[in-house]
Parts: sequence; structure tokens; C-alpha cells
Amino acid sequence: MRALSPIIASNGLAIFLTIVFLLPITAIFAFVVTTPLDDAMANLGLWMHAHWQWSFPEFDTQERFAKIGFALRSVVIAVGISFFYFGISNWLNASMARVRCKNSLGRQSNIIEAIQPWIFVGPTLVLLLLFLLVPALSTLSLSFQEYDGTPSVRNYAFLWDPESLGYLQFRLAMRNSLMWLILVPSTCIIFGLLIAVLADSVSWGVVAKTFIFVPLAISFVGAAVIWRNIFAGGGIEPLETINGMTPSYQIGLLKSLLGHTAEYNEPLYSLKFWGNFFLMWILVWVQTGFAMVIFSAALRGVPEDTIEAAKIDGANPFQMFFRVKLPQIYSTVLVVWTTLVVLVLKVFDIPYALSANDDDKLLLATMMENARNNWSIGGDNVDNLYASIAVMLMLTVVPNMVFNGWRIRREQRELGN
Amino acid sequence: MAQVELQGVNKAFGKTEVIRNVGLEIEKGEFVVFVGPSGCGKSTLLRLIAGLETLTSGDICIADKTVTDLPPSKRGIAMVFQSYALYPHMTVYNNMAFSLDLQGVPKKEIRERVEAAAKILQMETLLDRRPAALSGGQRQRVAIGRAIVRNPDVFLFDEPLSNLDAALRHDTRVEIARLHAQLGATTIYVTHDQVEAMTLADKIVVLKAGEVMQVGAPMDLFNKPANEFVAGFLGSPTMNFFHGTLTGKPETPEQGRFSGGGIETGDVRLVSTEKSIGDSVKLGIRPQHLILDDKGPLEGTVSLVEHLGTDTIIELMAADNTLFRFVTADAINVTVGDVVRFGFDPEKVHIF
Repeated sequence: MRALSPIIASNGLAIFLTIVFLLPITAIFAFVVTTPLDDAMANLGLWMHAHWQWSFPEFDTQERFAKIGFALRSVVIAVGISFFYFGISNWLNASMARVRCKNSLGRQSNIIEAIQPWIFVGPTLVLLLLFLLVPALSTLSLSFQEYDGTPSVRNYAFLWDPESLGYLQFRLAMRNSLMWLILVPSTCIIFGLLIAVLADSVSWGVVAKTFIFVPLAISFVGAAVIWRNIFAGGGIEPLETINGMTPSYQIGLLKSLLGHTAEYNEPLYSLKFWGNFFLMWILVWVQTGFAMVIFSAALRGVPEDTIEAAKIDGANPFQMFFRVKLPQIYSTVLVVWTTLVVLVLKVFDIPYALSANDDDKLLLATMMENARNNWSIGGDNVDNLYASIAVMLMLTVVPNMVFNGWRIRREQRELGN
Repeated sequence: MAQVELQGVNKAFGKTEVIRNVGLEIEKGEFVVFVGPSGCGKSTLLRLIAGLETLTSGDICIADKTVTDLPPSKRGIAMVFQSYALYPHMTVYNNMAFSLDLQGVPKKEIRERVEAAAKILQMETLLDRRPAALSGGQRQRVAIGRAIVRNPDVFLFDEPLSNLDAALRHDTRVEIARLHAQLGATTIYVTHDQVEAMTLADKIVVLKAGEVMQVGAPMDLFNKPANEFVAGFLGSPTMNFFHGTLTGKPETPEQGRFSGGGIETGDVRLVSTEKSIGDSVKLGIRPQHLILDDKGPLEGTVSLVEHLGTDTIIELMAADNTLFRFVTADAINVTVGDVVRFGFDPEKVHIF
């Protein structure tokens, strides 16, 4: 018996090469063949233009309909190419295995099963490689270069050199990021749990939960705008420029309630240091609904009989929650926590919309954008500096990823038992 | 005063009445089994006693104390659930110690009591494990241990054996009987399995549609069922019933004569004393109480023979198309289609 691995390797290579040549050719061919469709669409548009006597220029109609046509056939061709890819590669896999091992069905299926997973995972791997790994690596190499390509660590100077560009900003951004990382997920989780538990004990709980959940559908910028109206200055006069930004004519709800007047009109989110917490609150407001929904479902999943057993054992509502329910949804809490941590690391819109130019409110993501916008006057290596901040941002995600990997492995081990 | 007393207990979920006017007295140290078909309300009755459901009306007293409005933990009960209901995140030790810990019992005493319970149940070696690492039988024992540790006035068992396999079920049943003998605790036990009911109980309570059908010692219920339901529910295979009419009622009120399906009886036990002569009635004879007799009044054609090793169950069709069964421990040589005649002991038949 010959070993199977050379056959698998050569079949795999053959399929790979076929696909690499065949798919682009097919795609180009399909686009070329279907080109007249754009004209047909344009003609349809012209006919409609004439029929309904549209008022705007004929040329616009023609162009728009041609674009629609192009979009339509692009979608159809892309989907078709995907089917074609799976069809042709599976067919190749099966028929080559049949040719190579004529007499043994078992060996045939061994070959097919060895290659098949790669047919399905392959495109994803290629996309990951092209759009995630390659850019990440090139960012890394860019961050260790001068603008002219000579190796350098100057871009990271903000780590140690007080004189360098971004030294202060980086420290503020790290401080703020850390505060966001600790406060936002934990507050969301505490509120989410509290609401999930309390809402279950009142008749109007569903309505309450709906109201808590709705902000999840609001974009971060939208949420920032909503809360700007609440945190803004309490005066009725148009406000003067603060920190390089002119607040619009604001309602200033919270400040009005606090009794602040037009004379004291600095928005709450602009306060030195404390403003950060008002920004964090916006994200908490948006994300509590997410935590609540997940915890609600998890709490429903706690076996009713363990709750009844605890009742008989004499647990009061607090003991019931902390000693019986919470430990049973512990893994859900962890999942929500890691999800929120990743989200916080990505947060950009909220501080950028409200306090883009305020160094005191910087996060790593906004600092990156600031580097691009504001520091270009400070040096010629802006892109490289930009890359080095991106690398720092990536490094902050690593502990979370390591922890998650460890947790998933441990959970699988426990399930295995 | 009884250890557990139920007075006019009613329970309705919306408009559905599940427990109707149940009154019961359970003496100290008694082993009482609630038995009945599924949906008869036996589990609900147990949960009412435990305090996991609230009464619609009526009163419950445990150990001379009205507990109707008390929470479960203050009623002096401990419950073993069908699904064990162990806390999955705690070790066996913590599962058993939890209730004592909540009561604020000192650590040292908790340890003593948990270890004593573990010793009674022979599971000292399991104390550090989590429920997930235990077998079904071991989990059941932890659940029982958790109840023992609390040293309650009343033990409540809600179908504790139904998640175990047949062999383990038998072992655990014996174990529960041994425990009861050892601890002498008042126990209420819910099951749908009449074998468990017959073997474990000092007193059986048969329930149907939320009403108590009969209360009594197992053999009393078996020998003198109070109605057709109890007669049909207890005993395996089930009692045979033959349709006919009441032909005579002698002076003694609990006797009657039956005629129907070729069977004529003398004066036998009349259960439904409200019936008068000429009313249609049923004659109940247990499969075990039929006697092979060539001149007997009952004739049947064999339709199925089941050899169980110890017993043989024979299913027959009577002349009027009534299906009935005969059970014997003796070797018997019949095949499907044979015609067999039976007699019976008039002491052991009932008219319903």
C-alpha cells in the first residue's frame, strides 16, 4: 500500500492551482459576457424617463440605471462564482480521488475527507490573511521605519521621551483607556444583572426591559448627540467656544436640573478628568441593554428546582442571587465581560464626537486619529507614528485574547469531563 | 396531635382545581406515600406541604404549628427532588452544608453534622466532588444527605427514584426504607409506582384528580379497596372487572350477589353499598385470585401467554368479549386459543 499523504498533497495542489486560474478567468469572462446588460438597463431607464417624463437630465437616468445594472450583475456573478467554486472544487476532489485510488472506496473517502475541510475553510483563510494578517504585519514593520524606510524606533519615542510628540497624549490615553476598561464593563454588568433580576419580579418588567434595551439600537454617535443635549451647558444663551469646540444652542437638561446658569456653562463632559465619566456613562447607557438581555436569558436557564431547593434551605433573596443564581451563570457573565472589553477597546465615536481635541479625554483609538489630524505639523513621519499607535492599541487587546483562549480551553476541558 | 395535619386543603391554578378539599393526618414517624396516576395532584399536594405553592384555602399544621403562611424554610421540612436539584457549582460538602450555613450554624457543628450524614449514607469519600462528577445514584444520595443534615420534622420525597435505572431503583428503595427505620423520621413520599408505594409505606394515600380516594395500610388497600379506582390502580396486573347486575342484597349491608357473564356468586363483599338490586355493577377479581377449575363458572380463550420466569401471566377473552388476566406461579401448559375455565375464592372478590 502506498502512503496517502503524497496523493492528498498533490490532489490538493491540483485543486488549488485549478481554482487560482479558473476563478479569475471565469469571473472576467462572466463580466465581459454580461456587459451588454448595463446598456440594456440604461435603455430601460431612458424608456422610463421618456414614459414618465422625469425632469432631471437624461444623462443622470442613463448613468444611474447602468450602475444599478452593474450592481445587480455583480451580485449575481459573485454568488454564482461562490457556488461555482464549491461545486468545481468538490467535484475535482471526488473525481481525482476516484482516479488515484480506483479499487479502494475507503482510501478514496480518506483522501476526500482530508481535502474537503480545506475547501470550505480555504477562502476564509485567504481573506483573513489578505485583510487582517498582512495589514497587521505591514503596520508593524511601518511602525519601525522612518518615512524614507530606514529602520528606527523613533516612532515609539512617546513611550519614554518626554520631549517627543504624543508623550503626554499617550499617558492620558492609557489612563483613560484603563478607566474605561475597568468601569464600563463592570457597570454594564452590574446594571444588567440588577435589571434582569428586578424586572423579573414586577409585572411591568417586560416594558422596563424594552426601555433599557432600546438604546442598543442607537449608534454611538447618535447616543453621544443625545447625551450632549443633557450634559451640555445649562444656559439659554448661545455658548462660547470651549476647548476649540462651539457647543450648539443646548438644552443642557442635567445642568439645568443641577441649577447651573448661563455663566457656568461648561458641558459636564468637558470637565477636567471627571468629564471622562460622563463619556463612559453614554456607553454604559447603550450597552446595559445588551448585558441585561443576555443575563435575563441566562437567569431563566437556572434550573427552577435548584431555586426551590434554596428556598427550602432558607436562602433570602440576596443569598439566592449571590450564592445560587449568580454562580450558575458565571460563565455567561465572563462572556459578556470579554465582549464588553473588546467593545471598549474599539470605542472611538463617543469621545471623538464630544471631545475630539481634548487631550484629557483621549482613548487610544481617538489618539490615533488625533495623530493623523493634528500632529502632521510636528513631523514628517506621521504615517509611521500612526502605525506605532495602532501597534500599541493591538497590544492592549492581547491580554484579553489570551484570557479568552484560556477560558475557552478550560470550559471545553470541563465539558469533556 | 398528628405530626402533619391537612385540613380542607384546596388548590386551584386559575380555574383549574388541582387539589379538592383534602384532609389528612400523618402521625409522627409514619411513612406515608401519595400515589396516583400522573396529573392527580400528588406532587402539587407535596409542594403545598413544602410551601413551594400557596394554598387557595385550608390549613396545614406541622409539628403542632400552623405553617400555612410560613415560608418553606420555616416549616421544619426537607425535600428531595425528582431531579435531585443539587447546586452544580458547590461541592457535595457545600451542598449539604448550605442550609446550615444560611442558618448561621457554627462551622464546627456544620462539619460534624455533614460528616454524620455522609457516614449514614456511606459517602464520606465523595464530599470534595462536584455533582457533575457523580453518578445518578450518588447524586440521589447527596440529595437525601442534604435533607438529613437539616434534621427536619418531616422529610418530603418527590418521586426520588424515577431518574434511576431499574437495579439502582431497587437498591435505593431498600436504602430509603433502611434510613427511615434508622432515623424514624416522619416521611411523605410521592410516587406513581405502586411497587414503591406498597413496599415503603406505613400508610398509602391514593389520589385521583385532586381528591383522596382512600387512605390506609398497603394490604388494607389491596384487600379491601374502597372503590373501583383504588382496586384498579393497586395490584399488578390490574384487577379484572366483569359487567353484570346486582341480584341480591342480604341483611348485612356490605354484601351482595352478582350475576353476569356466566358468573353467579353467593354473598360477597359489596363495595358500592348505595346500589340496589337490579342495578348494573362490576365484579372485581384480582388475576392472582382466580383458580384453575374445570367446572368453574368463568370461561376464557387464551389470547396471550407471558412467561416472566417466576410468574406466568395469561391474557384471556371471556365469552362476552371481556378481557381478563390470570397469574400463577405454578407451571402451566397452555397455548393461544386454548379454552380454560376458572373458579374463585368468594372471600376475595368485590362488587363495585
